[in-house]
Amino acid sequence: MNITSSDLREDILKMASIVESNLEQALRVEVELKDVFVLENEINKFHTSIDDSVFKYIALKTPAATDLRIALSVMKMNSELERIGDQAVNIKRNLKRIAKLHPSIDSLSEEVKMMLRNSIDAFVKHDSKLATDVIHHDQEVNDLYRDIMKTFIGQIKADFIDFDEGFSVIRLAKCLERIGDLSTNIAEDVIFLESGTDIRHNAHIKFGRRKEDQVVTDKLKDNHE
Amino acid sequence: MYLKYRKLKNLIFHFSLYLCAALVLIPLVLIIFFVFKMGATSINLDFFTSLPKPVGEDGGGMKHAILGTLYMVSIASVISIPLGLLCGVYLSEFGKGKVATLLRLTIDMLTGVPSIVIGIFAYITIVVPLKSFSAMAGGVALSIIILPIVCRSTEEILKLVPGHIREAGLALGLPRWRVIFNIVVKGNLSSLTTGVMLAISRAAGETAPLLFTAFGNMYLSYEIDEPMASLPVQIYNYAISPFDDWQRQAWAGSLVLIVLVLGINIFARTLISLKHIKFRYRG
Amino acid sequence: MNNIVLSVKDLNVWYNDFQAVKGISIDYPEKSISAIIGPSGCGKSTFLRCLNRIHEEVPGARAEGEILLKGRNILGSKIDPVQVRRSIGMVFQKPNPFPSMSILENVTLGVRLLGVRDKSKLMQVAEQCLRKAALWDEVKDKLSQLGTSLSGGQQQRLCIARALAIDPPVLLMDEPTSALDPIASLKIENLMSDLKKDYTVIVVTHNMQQAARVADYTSFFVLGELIEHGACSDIFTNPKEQKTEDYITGKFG
Repeated sequence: MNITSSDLREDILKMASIVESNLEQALRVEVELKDVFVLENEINKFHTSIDDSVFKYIALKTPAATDLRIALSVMKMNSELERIGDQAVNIKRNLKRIAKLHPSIDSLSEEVKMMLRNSIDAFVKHDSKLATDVIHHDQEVNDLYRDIMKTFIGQIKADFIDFDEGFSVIRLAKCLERIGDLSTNIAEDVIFLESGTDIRHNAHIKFGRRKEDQVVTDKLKDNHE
Repeated sequence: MYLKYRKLKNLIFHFSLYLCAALVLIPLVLIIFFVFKMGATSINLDFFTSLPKPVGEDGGGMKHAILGTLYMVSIASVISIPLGLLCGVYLSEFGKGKVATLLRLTIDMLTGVPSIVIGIFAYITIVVPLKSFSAMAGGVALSIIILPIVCRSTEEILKLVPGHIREAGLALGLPRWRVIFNIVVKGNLSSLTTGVMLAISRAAGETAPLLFTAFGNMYLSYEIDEPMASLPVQIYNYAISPFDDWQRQAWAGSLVLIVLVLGINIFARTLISLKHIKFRYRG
Repeated sequence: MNNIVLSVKDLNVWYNDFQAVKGISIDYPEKSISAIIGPSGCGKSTFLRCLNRIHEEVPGARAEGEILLKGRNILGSKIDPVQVRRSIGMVFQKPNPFPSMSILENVTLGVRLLGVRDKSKLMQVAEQCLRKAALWDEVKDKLSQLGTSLSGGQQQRLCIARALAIDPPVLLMDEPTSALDPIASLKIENLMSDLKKDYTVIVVTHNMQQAARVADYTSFFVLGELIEHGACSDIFTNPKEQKTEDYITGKFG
């Protein structure tokens, strides 16, 4: 039994790449639901095996400092990624119910895919700044989602489109917005991993002692104002 | 107030300790001082290279006694060092049963036997049957003096070797005798040498065991079955003689003897301090 | 991989009237690290010392049962303990290089006294073992210095090299890092993981985390009894016995 922290990093990256392609596949109209389920199964296997590895790693190696943060971050990222996988399945289901293309959904899904990719890139490259950008980006995704919701509720009310079609679009957008949130969580995990600072829920508390933290908190402040 | 009292007490104790140390040193310093003062004037090359002149004639030396002492100490060493070392090894490595307890008791008692008694013992067992004083008898008497010292110092030194050193040797699949000789004894050879040298220096200065055994001789002799001169006996004989020149030579002999014994002692102790056992086992 | 090298069957050990080890049976697979943990006085050192019969050094010690080394009972009365110890090496709690011997002499003493005289062969053994013990680079320029002149951690690695020199398939370690500082301990732990490639290592340790870090299997002893034996990943994540749980969580012992 010889797990190292780099093994954990490697495993979570493998899982992340599957999650990414799962989302990609889910958003393609021509891909069937069962194909998405194949990837989803893979993801679930990783989900359990990574949790088990982290569990044993902590129990047997009593990691400290960076190693401990890697273990905890990997464990958290593990559940975020698994949920993203679930959302991908939901996306596929809703996409199947939509008859025609809606450009606003396309731009939302591009934004969200970029957020996910960047959050994972930030993890790979130990890049807190990129992670901060992802967090920053979440607001835009939220705005896009709100716009889509407003537009389609309006259209349904005005009977411009079929109710089922409109509702599915809204649900699809909701799924994408959730993935944006989950990517943000991954970015927060990366910042915790790289700096040891937990920036969740207290973006306004300014106690950043390191430069990176300062950047994060400043950006978040700008964002919220 | 209390502090002052405490400091005063401390001062008094310190002072008395230094005083005691000084008192112990005084006899040694005085002896060395007198021996040097009296002996230095009569010592010369002649003293080391020539034999005594006939009574009444001045000059002459103690060549025969110096060589005699070396000769008999060598005989004693040859007999008692191997025996003492082996005995000490036995006591430290196997010394647990009744035999060992008895042996240890015997050796302790042997250490306590007055040297004159040892002389008489050698007289009865060797001189009387052979009907002659001899260097052999002197050597045997000295060896009985050396034996318990070598034995106990060997035991004590080897006992300081921690048990896990022996176990480490055994764990390498070495037979016990290999562990004892190649690791325990060889590893402490310098300390063992020191113990042996201290014992020899003790024997070199003994007079009493030689009085009835080697007896003394005014001529140079290398024969093992004939009387032989030795420094302590020669000093004794000269010192009680009525002749001024002999008395002066006795002082000179004392000086040589004291330098010899002190020299061996200091050399041995330097060896100890250079390679101190406890120092070498620091974790 | 799962060949059993050493198999202990119903081992009981007494010191005179006191029974220190009570009916313990454990199998040790080849090329693995097994740890023995337990509170002080639980018989773990006694158990370990029986495995190469060094327990016979303590007067009054007596072992009953079977210890099969590749199928042969080494506790048998016809077996010479000296032969047993050539197959089962041991490293002790305190680093104990032999006194007045150089580093080179320390490492090669075992093979020299077993009859190897050839200088180049001895040198080769020394280099190989010192490399295996991850000490070569630190001492290669001072092989003629006293073994005792090294630091504690280096001394312990020297002792490991010395034990490896006679090439025993099984290596016993009795609390090998308890006298060392954390960094030196870590070096020894890494070394143990390396040794696993060629040797079967059985280590007694007071340090549970050490057992968790380096071992494949762990046995937990209390008062001479084996409470639990299993893969480290089970013992330290989900022990079956309440006593084990209490011990590794620091509630008992």
